[in-house]
Amino acid sequence: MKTKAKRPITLRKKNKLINIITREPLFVFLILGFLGFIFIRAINPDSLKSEQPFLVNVSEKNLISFIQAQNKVYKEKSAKAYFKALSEDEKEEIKKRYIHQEVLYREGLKLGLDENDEMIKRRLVQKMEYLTRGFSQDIEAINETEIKKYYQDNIYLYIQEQTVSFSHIYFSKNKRGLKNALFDAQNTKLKVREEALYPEQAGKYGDHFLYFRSYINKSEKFVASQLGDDFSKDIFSENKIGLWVGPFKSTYGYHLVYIIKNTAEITPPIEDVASLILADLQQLKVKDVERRAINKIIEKYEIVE
Amino acid sequence: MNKNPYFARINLSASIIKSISPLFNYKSFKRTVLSVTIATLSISVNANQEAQTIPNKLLFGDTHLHTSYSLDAFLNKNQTVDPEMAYRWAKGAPMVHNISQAKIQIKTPLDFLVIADHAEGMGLLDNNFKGEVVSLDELGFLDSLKRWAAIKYIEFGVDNDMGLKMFSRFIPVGPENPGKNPVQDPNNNTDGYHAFGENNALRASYWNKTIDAAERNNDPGTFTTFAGWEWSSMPTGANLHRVIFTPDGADKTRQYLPFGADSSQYPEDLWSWLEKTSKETKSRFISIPHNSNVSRGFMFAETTLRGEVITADYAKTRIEWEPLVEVTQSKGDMEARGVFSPKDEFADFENFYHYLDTSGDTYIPIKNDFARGALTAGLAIEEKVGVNPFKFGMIGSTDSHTGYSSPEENNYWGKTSADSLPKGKKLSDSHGESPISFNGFNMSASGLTAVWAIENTREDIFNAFQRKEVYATTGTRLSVRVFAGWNMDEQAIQSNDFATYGYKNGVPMGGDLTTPSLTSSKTSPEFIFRAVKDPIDANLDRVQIIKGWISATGERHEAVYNVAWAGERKLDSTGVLPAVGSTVNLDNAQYTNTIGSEEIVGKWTDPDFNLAERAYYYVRVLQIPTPRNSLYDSLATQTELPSEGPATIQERAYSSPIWYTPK
Repeated sequence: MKTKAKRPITLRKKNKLINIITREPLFVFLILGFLGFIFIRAINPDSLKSEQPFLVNVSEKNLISFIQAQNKVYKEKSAKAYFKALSEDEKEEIKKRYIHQEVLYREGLKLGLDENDEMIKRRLVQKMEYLTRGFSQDIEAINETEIKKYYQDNIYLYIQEQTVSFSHIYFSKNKRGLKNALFDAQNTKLKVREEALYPEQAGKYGDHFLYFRSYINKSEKFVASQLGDDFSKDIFSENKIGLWVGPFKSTYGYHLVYIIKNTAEITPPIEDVASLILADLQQLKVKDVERRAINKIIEKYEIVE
Repeated sequence: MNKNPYFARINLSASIIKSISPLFNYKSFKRTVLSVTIATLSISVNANQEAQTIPNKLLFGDTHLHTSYSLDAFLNKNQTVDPEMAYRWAKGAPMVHNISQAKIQIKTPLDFLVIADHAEGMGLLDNNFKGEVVSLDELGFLDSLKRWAAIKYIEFGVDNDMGLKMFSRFIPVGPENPGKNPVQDPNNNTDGYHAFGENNALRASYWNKTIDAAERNNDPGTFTTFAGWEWSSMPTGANLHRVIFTPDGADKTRQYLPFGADSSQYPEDLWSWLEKTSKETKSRFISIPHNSNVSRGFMFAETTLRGEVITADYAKTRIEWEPLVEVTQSKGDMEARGVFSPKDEFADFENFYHYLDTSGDTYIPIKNDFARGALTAGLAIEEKVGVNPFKFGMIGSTDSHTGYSSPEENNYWGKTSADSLPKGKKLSDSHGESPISFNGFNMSASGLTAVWAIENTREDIFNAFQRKEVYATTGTRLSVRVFAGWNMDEQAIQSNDFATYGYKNGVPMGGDLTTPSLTSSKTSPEFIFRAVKDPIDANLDRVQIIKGWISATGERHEAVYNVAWAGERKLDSTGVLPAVGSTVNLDNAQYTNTIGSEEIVGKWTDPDFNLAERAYYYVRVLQIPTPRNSLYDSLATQTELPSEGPATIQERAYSSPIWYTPK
């Protein structure tokens, strides 16, 4: 009997409570608010900080991230272990340093010290630049006209320079004196022509040269870097191929030269370089999308003198 | 087999003439030659032949360049410089730089290039960026969801200038059990490799593009290309990376896909794959380890990676596939560290002291992680098992991820596109959350591989690699040649056919000296050498010979000898040579060649030689000081000199060693 009498009472009490809760909007808001608070706190505890500008949370978690950043210890496990191993005094010291950083950082923000800081500005600009950089979907397709125009305007990027291949016999001015070097070179020329000396046999006569004995498909600039501008110019304008010619004067003395090949500058027809141009244009377009996006943002601003 | 040398010569000369003139009556010519002109013809053709069989061409190249096909290169802002563009740059064409849009050009074109993109994730981002041209492999629901998330995650990173941070997600976690097999370590996480699935179709597509670009740009005699890739094994940050390349053409390279660390992180498995593939496809390969400095002691450990004893078999297999090591590049120089070579005042050059993992551990150098320690360890292992697994030649390369191979301090376009500009070099500092504690200023514009070849062709360059007639430079194109023998004539150095003399009477770099013949009165090896400056770079300071050896009691030794130098300097009683000085003006980054010398030659005899002791010798050539890239940058931006490196450096070259093995 006792049990029978008790049951309805509890049920009634419960119902009453539920009634109060469901009918009273204040309770509903309170509960929803509390759940929301727990939820936000769980997923993003930092978001509540700004609501409490004078609260510094020295939780273990915050202190450990602080240690990670300070000591560049990125493994969370080791940072935790490091923190746990600290004495109470050391923990206090870290707490103090953390509070020092947090408080001064926030006060700095409040005073607007970040606003005219060059370093912060540059970093933000850099971030914005990359945010505006487009991915492939923003890049317009490249058409034939564009390729043609780019080819005409930037032909210098695709020209293949004039090159020569040659071997040389060297007569050192330091070893022989300039006059004798010339004299010896002239005499040797007769000998090597008579002998029909192969270019790869150049080492048979003359002195040892600092750099190379033969040069294959080298540009005028390259030859000049090793034998001087005048020598290079002479060789590049020489039109006797397959014969010992010279002597030519260089920075180091005199040289007999056997030109194996002289390849004129080549301006490749557009069809040969179209794929290269396409790749170059694509690269430019990426940059262009970024520039246009930035200009769009700038347009929103009024610029005054 | 015909052993008569005269006959061989005649045949050769005849075949040359035959090939020149198809109308020529070959049979009657052969008779005539035999009866009449044996002497004259054989002499002239022989001389001609000799000139062509002596490796007298010095070629410079890079064996380790990444392009936009490498995942990490893409994340670090190289989204457009692909193999085709990389070759254009290397051949000397002017280019528009992908970040600055400035016109750029290499100062001296390269003679050869190996493009070695990471096998793992090859082309993944480039493909995605271009709108998924190649569709990815079909995966199960969950795996494809994972992959989708991984790709979106990276895209987001690239879009929001967080490439570097994203990149750091691929950086391994440091070891839980340092010193133990890193592959078995609980922290060894290979998810990074597998997040995107197998994607063999994608790898095949990008491997084919790599091959196509290599074939298109190979120009025998002028510019040589090699197909290659990087096997990027880095269990718990122990860097075991290798570049693999082949001299073979598309007919062979299209028969396989690059072997990546996603297949196995053990080098033994890489070697088995090379063995198997070379047999199946008749291909040839060389595997080149690099960045032993960040291997945490594993690259040249005196046990296998699993911690087993090194056997003769292991040593033989290893040295067969890995005859060379890249000892200098942008992420540090690995020749020697001062802590192990305290008497070497030029050790500690461009030290790199950052692990490539997230541990944040303080860098602790390990002796065998540097070439000198490893070379000496090799002698010790040889003494035990009969084979030297570390009998390697030395080369340098850039490991640049920009697609521009630019080992020139005054024309340096960065290790990654992100640090191609001065303002980008400090980038990692502004990414506080990145675990990478180094930045662009920790890098110097290093290095290059120099090759003594007969011709600039795939065949000849590969052969030079095999016989180790190659050397490393830190980016300069200085020339160095050395021959060792038991009776070398100093006069030969100044002669026009120094090399001919050297090969006849001694062995070149990379070679082996055996005990002298009984008739020789000399009991110490003699070295003749010649070093010449880079035509457009600084003069030379000195030539040194570095020796490592094992004494009778098994102790390891090393010594550095100053053997020839520029100017009127004198060695002190301990063998130390006064510094050459510096002409660098720190206010404008100019220097003059008023000190140093264009050419340094000489002969040196080992004063401490013992016929019974295993040894190696290599030549080190130093330039006079020149500005480092950080000095150029700080002057250009009118900012303080970055603390990451010195204002000036002494560029240098390391020859491959010559080994002495007692009977």
